Amino acid sequence: MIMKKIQTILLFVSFTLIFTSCDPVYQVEFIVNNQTDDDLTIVSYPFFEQARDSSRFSSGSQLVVFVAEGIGMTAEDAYEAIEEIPFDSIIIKNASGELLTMDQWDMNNWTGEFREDNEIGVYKLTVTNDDF
Amino acid sequence: MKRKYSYWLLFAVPLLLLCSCKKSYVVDFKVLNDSDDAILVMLQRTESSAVDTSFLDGGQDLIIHTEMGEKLTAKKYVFDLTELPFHNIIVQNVNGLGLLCDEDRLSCWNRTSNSDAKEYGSVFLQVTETSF
Repeated sequence: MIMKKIQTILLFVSFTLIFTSCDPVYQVEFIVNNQTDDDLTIVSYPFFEQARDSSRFSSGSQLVVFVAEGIGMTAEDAYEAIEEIPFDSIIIKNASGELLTMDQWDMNNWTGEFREDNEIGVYKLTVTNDDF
Repeated sequence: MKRKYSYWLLFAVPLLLLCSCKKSYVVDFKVLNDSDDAILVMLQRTESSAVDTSFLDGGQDLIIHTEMGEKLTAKKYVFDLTELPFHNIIVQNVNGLGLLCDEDRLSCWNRTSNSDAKEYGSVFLQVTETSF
């Protein structure tokens, strides 16, 4: 009888240990929202990436330029810990080839949002015609 | 008599609170380029609008359209969706090959499976090397 009780307690403790030791997963998206009247071209070189990405996307759409993801912290902690834009370089041009005049490196120009029900952090840079 | 009223209040107040909770949703329609190569996304929002063309590098995601509203949860909107909220979409690889699945049909698109998604949802077209 005592052995059975000990077995049950051990089983409970093992399950608790297994579940609490799981590493949380995080995901933080960096999005450029094209609110200009024409296409935008983005050439980016995110941290830790081997290749440069180059995309051209149309007016009214949004490009997910980079997704920071990993394990070891919650999505909310990862979202709050971000202090700088995780790119070695990011160039944004309009259809005429003009460069963005807004400072894309300034975190204040990116709107941050933590989506609790999806456990995703989002930083969004909204670009309009006036930003060139 | 007083006791009867207090029972009613016990049920009515939480019920009223539940009913008055404001529901809202934001649903992103995305094209996820999970292939190594670039793809072209041509989107015509309405029958009379021009075709918007985006060129996406390998591994990049594009939010082509966002639906927002009230009185529904994101989960309900996503799973009750019967047609895509734009007129026409064409996806091609750099060799000009189209998708094997008809991207104009909702059946080719995946819906977010997050059962907790109250406010945010997504409907996405996943493109890989074998999609062409």
